[in-house]
Amino acid sequence: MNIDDILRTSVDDLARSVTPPPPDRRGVRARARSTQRRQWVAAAAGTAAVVVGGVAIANGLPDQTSTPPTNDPDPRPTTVVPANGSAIWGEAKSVHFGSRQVPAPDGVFGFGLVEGGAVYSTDSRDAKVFYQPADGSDPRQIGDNAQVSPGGDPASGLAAWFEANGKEGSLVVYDTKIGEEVARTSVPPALRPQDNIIFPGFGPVISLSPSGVYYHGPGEEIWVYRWKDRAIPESTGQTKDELFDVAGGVTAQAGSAEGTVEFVTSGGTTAVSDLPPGGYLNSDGSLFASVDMNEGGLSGIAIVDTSTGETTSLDVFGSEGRPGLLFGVGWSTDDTLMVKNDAVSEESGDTNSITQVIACTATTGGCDVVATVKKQSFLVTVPLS
Amino acid sequence: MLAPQPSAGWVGSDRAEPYDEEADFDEFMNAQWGPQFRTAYLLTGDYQLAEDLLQTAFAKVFRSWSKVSRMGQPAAYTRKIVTNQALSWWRRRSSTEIPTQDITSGSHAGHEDRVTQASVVWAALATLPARQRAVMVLRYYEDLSEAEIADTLGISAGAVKSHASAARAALAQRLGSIGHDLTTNGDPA
Repeated sequence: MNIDDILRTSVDDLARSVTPPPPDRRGVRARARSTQRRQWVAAAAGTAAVVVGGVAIANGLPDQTSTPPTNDPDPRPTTVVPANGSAIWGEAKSVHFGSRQVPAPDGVFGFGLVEGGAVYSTDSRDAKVFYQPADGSDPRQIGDNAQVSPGGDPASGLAAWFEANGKEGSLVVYDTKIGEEVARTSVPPALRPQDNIIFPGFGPVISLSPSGVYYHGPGEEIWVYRWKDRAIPESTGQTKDELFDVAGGVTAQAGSAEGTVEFVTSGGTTAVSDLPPGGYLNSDGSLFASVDMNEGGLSGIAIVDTSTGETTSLDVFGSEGRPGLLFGVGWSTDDTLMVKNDAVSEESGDTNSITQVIACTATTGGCDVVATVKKQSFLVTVPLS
Repeated sequence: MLAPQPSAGWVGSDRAEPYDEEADFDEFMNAQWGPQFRTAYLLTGDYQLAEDLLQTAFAKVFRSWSKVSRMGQPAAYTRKIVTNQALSWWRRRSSTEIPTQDITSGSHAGHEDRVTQASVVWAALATLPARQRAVMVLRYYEDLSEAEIADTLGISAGAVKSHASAARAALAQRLGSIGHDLTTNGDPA
């Protein structure tokens, strides 16, 4: 008998041997209300801190059904350190461009960058898509019914997202510079992205450029829509474990040797690195962020020069960071990598997570915690690369 | 990746129709409580803790239900919370706390019945590092693919392969040492 048979049979037997307790409807609701109270107080405390520090904090305000605040002060409200002007991220009901915080009343859900601003989908049932200029001027609604997150091209004004209207689905390309939709193609249900991409920032669009939109298509394949040719989407023939990112004329993909990543341009392979699979190119394709996970969660991020293969490790956690489960990495500029790190609260000893927003400078390898958020982790989004 | 679920996905065909959000959540919780509890129990090995993890996980889902239900795959989302809660608990657990059951004592050697086998596997699982144990539970109980496990744990597919390989080797060694005749050329995780 092989070990897989033994494990499958035994684990199933073990699971069946235990009788689950009945669903605790009352307990679940009580715990949910308790958490909501803590967050309300956290938001209030955060706002007070803002007045002192001169930084506006406005996020995570309770909905109409939440419980009023109680004597339950939160020791760790949201804090923002405006140390890195290149840091860009989304947080609940605001978008941060460095120290500038722009309100997003409908909520920030999926989040991508375009030249001169950001595009985001909202936390609402009609999933609106907004373009928010970085200068803080009013946001413009550019779409709705978006699937999870729009993607953007930081090197141009292009944004793209999947739109769902009942059984109809479309892939939309929009140019925020001219304020017009520039391409749209109908996508049958069988060819749409998987719908189990459930965390903001993990949208289906992985890369967008004037040459095409690359996205997680059906199965595990990466598909491309070469929208300028008015072609229909087609499979690249590579899975997400084989094709990682495309930007600036550079493709990052699995190397022919196992456990390697190679960088390919029209001139051929420029470099091969011994790296774990997966990662993100900056918008000009010059740098690649490789993320490594180990037993305890995120173990490190390495930056690779895609023309030489030279690799630099980032000091992600430094003295302030606390390793946790990683939920997001994305470039906010060609030299700034945003890392969303969900650390476990040591003070409370419970499972409340603290989300750290970390900005790393690729050229120096240094990282700063630019915000600490005691919130549900999905309220913070880093740019979708 | 999980198979698409047309009725629960992001497709907005039912968005315009009003519905009872709390009743919708209750229906989901009633259906998922048992399976998710069993996963939590396998991950932690502790009945009370599993119940506590589950209550926390469903509370989080409840607070975000309008969003979670719209995005589809709420069961996968809940499983992700349960799993990561369990991993958090493992990390906080004292490093001096180790499994007390000695599965190499030989008391089970030669027994072929599934109950004994399961108890041996149970003890062997408890000796694995948290992430390896989670990979094993998700693979063999939840029957998730490598990609789905990677999604659930927030790690790369390569890391899943690595954890699965190490876990299977450790389990094979332990199970082999108490008399199971094992081959390890089976279905990889």
